[in-house]
Amino acid sequence: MKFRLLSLLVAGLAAGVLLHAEEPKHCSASAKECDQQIRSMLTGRRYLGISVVDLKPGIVIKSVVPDSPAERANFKAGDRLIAVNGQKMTSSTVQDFKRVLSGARDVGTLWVIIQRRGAYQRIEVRLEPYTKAQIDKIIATHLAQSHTATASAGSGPGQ
Amino acid sequence: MFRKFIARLRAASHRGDGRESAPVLLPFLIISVGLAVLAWRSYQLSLRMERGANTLAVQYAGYAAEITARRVDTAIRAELFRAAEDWQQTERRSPAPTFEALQQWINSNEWIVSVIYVPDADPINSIYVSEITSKKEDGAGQTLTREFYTSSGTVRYTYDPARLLVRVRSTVNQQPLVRSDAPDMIPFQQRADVTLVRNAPAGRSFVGRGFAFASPLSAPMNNYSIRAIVRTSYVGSGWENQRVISIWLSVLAFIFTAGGALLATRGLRKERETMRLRGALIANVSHELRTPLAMIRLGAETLKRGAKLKEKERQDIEEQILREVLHLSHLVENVLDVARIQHNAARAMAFTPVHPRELITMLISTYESWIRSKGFTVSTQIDDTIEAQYWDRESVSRALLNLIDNAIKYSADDKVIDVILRQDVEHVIVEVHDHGIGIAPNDLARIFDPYFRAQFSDTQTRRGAGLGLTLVQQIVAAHGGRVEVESELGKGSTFRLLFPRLKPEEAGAMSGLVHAPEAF
Repeated sequence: MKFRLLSLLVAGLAAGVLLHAEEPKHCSASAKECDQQIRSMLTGRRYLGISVVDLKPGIVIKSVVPDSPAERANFKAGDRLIAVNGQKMTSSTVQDFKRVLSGARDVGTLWVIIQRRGAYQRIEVRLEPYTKAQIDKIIATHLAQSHTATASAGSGPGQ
Repeated sequence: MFRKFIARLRAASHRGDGRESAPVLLPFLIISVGLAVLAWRSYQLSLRMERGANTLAVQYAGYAAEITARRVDTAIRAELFRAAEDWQQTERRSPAPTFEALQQWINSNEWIVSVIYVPDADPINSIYVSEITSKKEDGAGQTLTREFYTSSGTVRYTYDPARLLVRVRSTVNQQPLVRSDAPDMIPFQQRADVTLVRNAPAGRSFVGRGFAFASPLSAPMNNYSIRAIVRTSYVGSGWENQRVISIWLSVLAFIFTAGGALLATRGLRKERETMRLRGALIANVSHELRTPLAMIRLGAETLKRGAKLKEKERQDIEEQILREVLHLSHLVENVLDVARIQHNAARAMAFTPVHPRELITMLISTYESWIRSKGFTVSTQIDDTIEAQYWDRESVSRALLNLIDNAIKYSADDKVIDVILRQDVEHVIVEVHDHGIGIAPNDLARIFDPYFRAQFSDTQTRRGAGLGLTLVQQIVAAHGGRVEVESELGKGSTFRLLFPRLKPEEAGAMSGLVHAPEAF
């Protein structure tokens, strides 16, 4: 009796796991559609290429993306953002910074004052759009992540 | 004040004869004016009520639409915010979000179509997820894009506003305003039908039996509006409409009032006629009765007292008494006949087959001595071919006698009376023609009225009650015929009795019976 209950429980768990596993992990849209969608979402979109961390108060650059406009403009990890486009950032949050950033995307140029090792430094940087190679890479990643799964899942029931 | 007014009214209604109808109509006039004022007032009130209800309904719809729209706006903002918060929670749990995490997020928000996550640290490794169950069929609904920032990246997603609105549908269906349970007191529905519509013109509009108000949602749902419809429960223009009913009721009441006024005037006129006739009867008949009675009394008293009267004088008195008695009985018979025929013409008559020719010759021979005694001569002119007719012998004789009597009474020097009997296609015609004083044109129309007597300087010397011609006309009418008069002042009058003529075959059928009644 006890064993039976246990076995039922185990079976149920297994079934749940299986069902969960069977949940589709892929886009139902075709690869071409995904391709188009990603391109439309990224095209014309300029990026800077830094990740920041909120010190509360203050924002500090956590890392700089290699081969990005930020790296070329000589941003370094550990720089503290003092002002961006004339707006004080010493007591702002990451959200505020990003709002300013997205507001500057149309202009394309960012004037940033940073504090590096105690000294203020003024940096002017041009935001750049993604290159075709970068977009292609993002698409390739997406296709690898979901559409290869599509292929395996699609072939799964057939076998 | 009021009593005074009534008294004056009463006095006015008893005044002269011609203007009697005006004061009697006054109450009806007052009623009519009152009704008209009431109708106008009621019309105005219902119009005002309708206008007020319309205004209220429009306002009600406007409020409902506006309140619901703002509520939906709030709900949508809350939903968007909730989704962003949701993702940031995920991000906080695992600093480098994976494809699966993003997919789970998109699954939990079914209105999101596709999403791309761009990490700040590594934009090249963006994650893109398109919705699992892509709904190709409603590709018509366009998608909107939205972006939010997290601490480590940017999330940009597209979503279907229609599906987002489905999620907040319950907000739309809430009744926005408090409902009161006043039943039927307010002529509009105290409930707005709130719906979500697309591309509707903002503002108010009139819909069948009610008002709609569309209030647009704020961005990003610009294309959608909340439309509230409040229906009014009164009827627009049909006959059930209160003001139409009030007007029709007033018209009906007015018609009744007018009918009452008409009946009242008619009754009044009839009564006036009766009064006039009674006055004429008293004036004429009493005079006519009194004179012969006085003569008879005088004669009788003279006879009683006068033992030494001469034979000649006694004879004169006796003749005079006899003449007056005859006159009196003639008068009384006339009055009685008029009354009898007036009440029941057909039953007063005894129709028997009569030869008109025979009737006239007999009548004239009977009364020849009397006519001679007046100094008149009668010339007859008779068509021998006339068949027997169904006549009442007595009354036709009386009618002719009355005419001859009139001719004698109202003649001047030319003392000749022509009696002519002839026929045409439809009628048997008896004409009595005199060369007397004639009748004034003004009087012609009235000579057949009871107790009417033409005005002469010597009317009082010519005796009569004014009933002769009335009787003639009634008798002829009872036979189905009519009387025609031609007259010229100073030259004489012609009275023409037109009796309907029996058809020859009818006359032939009863020719055998002609003498039968006389045998009895």
